[in-house]
This record gives sequence, structure tokens and C-alpha cells, in this order.
Amino acid sequence: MPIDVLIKDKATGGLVLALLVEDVEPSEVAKAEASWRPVREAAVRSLRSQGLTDAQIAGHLQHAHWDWIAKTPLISLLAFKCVGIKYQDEWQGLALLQSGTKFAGLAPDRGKPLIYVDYLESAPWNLAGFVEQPKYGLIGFRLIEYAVRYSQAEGFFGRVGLLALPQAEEFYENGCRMLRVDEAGEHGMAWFEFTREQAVAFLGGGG
Amino acid sequence: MSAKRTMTLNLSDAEMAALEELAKKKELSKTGVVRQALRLFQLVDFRLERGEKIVFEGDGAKKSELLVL
Repeated sequence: MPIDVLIKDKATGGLVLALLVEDVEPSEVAKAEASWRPVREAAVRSLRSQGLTDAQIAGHLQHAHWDWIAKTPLISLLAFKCVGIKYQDEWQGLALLQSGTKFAGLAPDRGKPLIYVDYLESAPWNLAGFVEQPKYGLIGFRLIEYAVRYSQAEGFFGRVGLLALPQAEEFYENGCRMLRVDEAGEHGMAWFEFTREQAVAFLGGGG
Repeated sequence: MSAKRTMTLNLSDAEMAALEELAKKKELSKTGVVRQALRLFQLVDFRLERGEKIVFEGDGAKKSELLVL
């Protein structure tokens, strides 16, 4: 059953009721990718026309190359869960979560399983880097909120971890108040984590 | 978050001891340990069937490939 969640309509500043879908089917992931890709590609073309090199564009739009269709073979596996937020019949965000495949790096639960946020993306029309006037906000926040609740349901006490692209560090560190674990970073990305205490504080914050 | 079904699991003393130790160490229920084990087994099998390898890394250059039969 989809879950009602509130997202922000940036045009009005008000909250609107969207649906969070817990198990997004591969065909729906393909629909999201089909609607998001042209927006991503248009943003890349725009930067290229302004004279930016591919390396500079990759620095500005760090996930412009993501392809959700390539991830669909994983979705049927037990360790993976794809969740998404839908509003006005359009996918506004997706997250690919893994259960128990990675472990906490922070005390007091170091070595205990957590929910790993493998990928999380808000639709490109919601992101300032891709469009001049983003449509909806709180998408990433609601998906992280779900990851914490999923962690609790799995018996992981809200523990969540992820590797953040540099452009997303501000959101996870200051927006969600996740803790950076310096020694756990990989591939030039920083590792952020919710301990069980941080998870409770995050949910209590309410967004 | 989804409906659950029940089964009886018959384990040897050693297997039950290992299950209980893991449950205590990871702060999971015994059911939780079995569920995580199943997820990892399925994921490992999926990746091996795609021609990937499992490698464990330790300190320094220590690296060993795990052969799963």
C-alpha cells in the first residue's frame, strides 16, 4: 500500500500530498528514467553550449550520467528495495536501498547491519542544477525518512548509511544531520551514517 | 512491511549455537539472522552467475578470493 507523504510545492511554498511507493516495479523505474533523462540531457547540453568541458559538467551535475534502467535487474533481489515518490502521476524521486549488505562504522553499533542507500535521486525538474525553477522539495528528505523507518522494521534500530556525492554532502550532513565517518569513504565519496540515536532525532525533527 | 509466512527450521546444536551467537552479536532476532543470510546468499549467487568474483581485503596488500562452490 502506498504511504501518504507531504512534499513541498516550490511554486506556492505549500505542502502537497504525494504517494510513497514501497516496491517500485522495474517497468515503473523505466518510466521514471524515460521522463528524467531528457531533462538531464537538456541541462548537460545547456552547459556544453556555454563552453563548459565534459569534466566541468561532470563536476556541476555529478549524477547526470545515472541510468536507473541499468539498476532494474537488482530490484528483484531480496537485499534490494526500490522506493519512490509519485505526485500528479509522475515519479518525483527514487531510492534504491540495500538491507544488511553493509555494516555500521560508528559506536555503539559498529559492525551491526544497516540499511544502505545505494542510490537516491530527486527528479531533475526538482533540482536547481538542472532547471531554473525546481518544482517540488522534500523528496530526498522523505526517501531518507523511509530508509530510517525501513531500518527500524528490519530490526536495525534506524541505522542507515550511504556514500554521498560531493554535491549531496550538504544535504546529508546539515539537512539530515547524518554523521560523517571519514575513514569509511570510498571512490572519492564521503560515508554518512545515522546511528540509532541520530535516527530517532531525525524522525523527531519531522522535516 | 510485507506479509510473513512461518516455517519450522531444524538445526544441529552447533548450527543453533552459531545462530544464537550471531543474533546476539548483531543484535538481531534469530529470524532476522536467517533473513539476512538468505539475502546475502541470493545476492552472492546472483553476482557469481554474472561472472563476478568475491574478494576479501585485509590490511595492506592482503587480498584473497573466495571460491563459492
